[in-house]
Amino acid sequence: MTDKPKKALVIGGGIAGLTAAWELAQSQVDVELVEKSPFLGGHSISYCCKATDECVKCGACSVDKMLAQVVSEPRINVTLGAAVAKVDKGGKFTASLDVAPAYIDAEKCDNCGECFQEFRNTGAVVRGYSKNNTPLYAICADAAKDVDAAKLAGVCPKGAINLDAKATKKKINADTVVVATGFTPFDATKKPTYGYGVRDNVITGMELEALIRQKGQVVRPTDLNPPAKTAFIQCVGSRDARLGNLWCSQVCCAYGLRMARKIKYANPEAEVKVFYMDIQSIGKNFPAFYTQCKEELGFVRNIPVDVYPEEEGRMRLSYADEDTGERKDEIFDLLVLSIGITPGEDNAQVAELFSLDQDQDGFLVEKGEGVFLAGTAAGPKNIPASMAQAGFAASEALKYIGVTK
Amino acid sequence: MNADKKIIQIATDVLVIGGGTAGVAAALEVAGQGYKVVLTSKEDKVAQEAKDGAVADLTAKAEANANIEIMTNTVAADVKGVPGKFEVTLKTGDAAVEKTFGAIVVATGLTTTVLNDAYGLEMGPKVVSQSELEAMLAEGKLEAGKTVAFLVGFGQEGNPLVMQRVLDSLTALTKVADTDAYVFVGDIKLAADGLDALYAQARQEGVIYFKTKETPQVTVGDAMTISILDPVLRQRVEVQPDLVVVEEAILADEDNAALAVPLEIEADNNGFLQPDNVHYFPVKSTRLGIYLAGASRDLLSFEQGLEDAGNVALEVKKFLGDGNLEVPSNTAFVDVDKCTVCLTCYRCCPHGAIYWDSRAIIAESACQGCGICASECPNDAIQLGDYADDAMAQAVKDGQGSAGKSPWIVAFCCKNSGLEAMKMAKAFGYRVPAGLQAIEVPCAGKIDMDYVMDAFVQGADGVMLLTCHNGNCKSDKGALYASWRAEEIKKMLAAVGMPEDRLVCASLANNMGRTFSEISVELERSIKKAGS
Amino acid sequence: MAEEVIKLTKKGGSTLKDKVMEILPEGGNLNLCLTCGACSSGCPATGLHDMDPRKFLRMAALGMDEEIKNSPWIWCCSMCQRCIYVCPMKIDIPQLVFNARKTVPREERPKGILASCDMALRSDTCSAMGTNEEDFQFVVEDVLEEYREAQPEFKDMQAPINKEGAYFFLNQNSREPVTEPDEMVPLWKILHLVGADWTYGTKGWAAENYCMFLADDDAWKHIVEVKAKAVDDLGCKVWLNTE
Repeated sequence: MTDKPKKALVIGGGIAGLTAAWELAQSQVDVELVEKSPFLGGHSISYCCKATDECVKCGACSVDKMLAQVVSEPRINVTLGAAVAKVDKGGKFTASLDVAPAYIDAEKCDNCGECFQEFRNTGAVVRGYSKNNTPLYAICADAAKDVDAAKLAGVCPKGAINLDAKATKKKINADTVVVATGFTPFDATKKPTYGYGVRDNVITGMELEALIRQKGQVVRPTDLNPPAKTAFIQCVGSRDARLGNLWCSQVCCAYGLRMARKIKYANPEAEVKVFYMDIQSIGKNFPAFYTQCKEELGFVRNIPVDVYPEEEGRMRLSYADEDTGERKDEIFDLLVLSIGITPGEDNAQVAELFSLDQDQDGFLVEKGEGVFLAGTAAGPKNIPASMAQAGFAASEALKYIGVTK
Repeated sequence: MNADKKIIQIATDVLVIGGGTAGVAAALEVAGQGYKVVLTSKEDKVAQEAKDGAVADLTAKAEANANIEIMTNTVAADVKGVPGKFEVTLKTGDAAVEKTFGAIVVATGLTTTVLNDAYGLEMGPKVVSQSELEAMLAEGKLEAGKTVAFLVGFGQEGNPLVMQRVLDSLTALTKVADTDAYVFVGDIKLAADGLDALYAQARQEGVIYFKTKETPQVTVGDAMTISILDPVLRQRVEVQPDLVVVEEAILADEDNAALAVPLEIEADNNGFLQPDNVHYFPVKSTRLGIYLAGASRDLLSFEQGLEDAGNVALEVKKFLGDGNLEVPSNTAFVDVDKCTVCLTCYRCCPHGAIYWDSRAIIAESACQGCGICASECPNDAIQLGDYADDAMAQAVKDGQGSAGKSPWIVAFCCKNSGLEAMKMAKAFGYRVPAGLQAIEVPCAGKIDMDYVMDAFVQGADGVMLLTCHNGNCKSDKGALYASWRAEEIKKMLAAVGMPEDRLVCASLANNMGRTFSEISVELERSIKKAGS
Repeated sequence: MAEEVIKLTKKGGSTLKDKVMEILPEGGNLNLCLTCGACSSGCPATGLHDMDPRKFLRMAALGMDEEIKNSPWIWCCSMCQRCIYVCPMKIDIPQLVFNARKTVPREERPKGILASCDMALRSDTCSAMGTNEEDFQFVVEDVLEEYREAQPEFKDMQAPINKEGAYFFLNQNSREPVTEPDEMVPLWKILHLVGADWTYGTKGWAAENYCMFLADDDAWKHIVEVKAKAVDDLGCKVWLNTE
């Protein structure tokens, strides 16, 4: 082992970044983990457990577990709310960060949640998804402008809220970099006929994940009742040359079917239909899992296009019946759009900063020396695959900086 | 217990079994971390299958690496010993050598089998397997002007590896002049990088896909026909191909089953050496010191095998370090005076940590501290470091104060799931009964029936056993043991006239704070209702 | 129909689909169908004559040109292009339909469309209803007068005819002056309220073009040329065709 610990910079605090940071720290490397949002965990920390009476291997629990490990690892220093403004490479990497104001003092906050209780409806205080987020709450600067500043500052019994906090700058020197900036979920408003953003009971698969995580079960956004009839539309934003997204997102069949079964498990009377073009095999025991799905769920090989409003927040879907070829209308209580993975919206900027390439689809590709990629920044992946690639990136980074046993 | 850190010396050489790409890559990665590696291949060479020239490059590097000893025509005939000190018999022909390794990496390959039976087909010159077609295309033996039909996804559900072979063949085949290609398929399996683009390319070249739920009917003779009901046309369609290509399943290496026994690791139900459990991702086996690269653990691509190699190196390093292994405080140990060598512990240990030598012995380098053995031992001869029986009894006693906030509910919580869910419930302000006392266990498999009965005897109004979901237990069967014990306890409660709903056994994930709240509040409610 | 077995033979490369692919940019993406069915879900003609766009495209891909030619469905398509809009592969099904229509001999094409096209060809009004210049002018002026009197807020509304140099040249579907004259008025009102400078023309006033739906390229072209000339002759800047 070298005398002075080497240092790695990990960009992105989602499951890939967390895993890479953790693995590097296990090899006695000091890690600077930089996350742009106020919370660690990325998209996947909002995902729910999809177990029925048994685990279905979605890996959502792994994210909480890894997050807990990372925040208790002294070799990992986390900077939240930080964007990389500039990177200099002269043998080592020097990253200049713009760090958002820390309106909540992490040292003083004890996660009592009073600020959130008082201000949740205003959007001025938001809560993270994992108890392992510290602080568990953050002030949303934009929404905070519309509330009584003195009241917000005064709500904290520990005096941890400081609305006068200023943005800061920070420089980090590192021997190697792991880029794990993740993906941007497909924007379902780009498929306007589904009425996403217009009709409250049209939600994305990711929103359903968060809903189940928070409520413990599947409920309709409008009335918080379990839906009697739910439709999942697959491949929303994936496998679509019109949108320039000619790839399978590799996660939507898995999460869609797992959550569809969870609905049936909680409420065997509920009806669930899955509209699809090809069901993808994901996971070790997929054939057995899919057999169960076929027993419990309806499958229609036809992608609906039109969604019309009905009474009581229901929606009428129009599609071509497989057997007769005729137009068929069917009414659902909840419509879930299984949205896909698209390249991170700031991938071009990230590529520029860290001397990376982008592939034809816009995902990142390794190019420069000493910069390694992990997770969905490099292409669609599920949680286990992101973790595997993050471990690999860590091992490559260790080789690059010459850390061995 | 074990207040002073105990260090044991372990071996640091590493055995890599399997000379495929993942094996060679793993050997290189592990050697790159500074360990000496023996790489065995049952063939007379390593990594012969070509893929973009990358393999030849890997093999050359492995051959040139002074830390790697390559043994071809060699199998691991027997494995004895414990993690950190595996005694392995390597057989090359009739010659056998014994070597000691600190860790073992298994990198066995994949095998294929043609699924002609699913279609009632005999193989022949006009009915060929996917492999045979690949050979024909490689040798330029496919004549121009033919109609070729692929059958895929009816003998098996299929997966991207199977589909990639079909798509690669279609790419080659559409370059042969005047070829018509039809693919009869269940679902196109594209959940892998680049496959959708490959699929689009084959369609662009005019390949037609019939996606159907029924198995195509194939008639063989001078003129072959394939008949299906096309769901798009809602009509029956017949194709008369010159060549029928039958799908192949890609399966786990046949050697895996034989390897799993001496390695004392659990295989999954498809013959891969990693159980379907997120806690083992990406490359862990059920046993410490044994790691899995590439196709030994799952159906994985070449690229994924290379990734695994890097992950294997990390795990090997975490386990072997510099050869000084710090024994965790939380390992099980056997009271030699109480052990009757019934070997219940040996049978129930999920981690291959127990052996015997006139008494059961728990290998400190292998114990993962789940405590299943301690709870199953019929003679209470095993105690678990941080969770000894007396400490657990004391913990229950300490909670009697909760009785003041009646009802008193003792919740035995697996620290991986139930305990985390409770912490989440509290952090998020979800309601948790005031009289709830959580007692941490390392695994639900450590919840003794005695602890539960003791809690009731001490006056608990209700007891909860909170486990991981089946298939998510880090120690494989801990949650199952807990649920079995709960059934037994309910019988006992019934026998003494206690309502059985006072005992709740439920499975949770660490992120299910809301559900923790609901379950515990429901128990509190039912206790209060019965008491009123 | 449903029980008939379709026997595929060697494709050979000269099917309707092959020919259409040759004339369309990117081949109209006609080979790229994922059979996802979005086109069929979104098509107003789905289910008519046991046909839908996905099935139609599949028939073309399989070289079932004769069946396509004989299907009344190809004449049900309104060329609305919704199938392209919702197709993830941007497959140009309407062009395939259009070219399928061309495979039917002109005299065998649907009588209604054929007669409408022929009627439009008979005069420079381009009216498929055969309404002549004088009748059109009379109806417009009559209806305008009626509305000006009945609705004082529109007493100044204009519906100019042959106004030279107007900015907009407005077309009018032939059916309305004949059967539903009141239907013309809402658009007049809008144009009036926004202060648009517009005119009808007695020549080339009819908006519809049945020759396009008939897939008669020469006749289609003729109709467009007559109308374009009418626009130019009045020196209008913008041609508003509401069809």
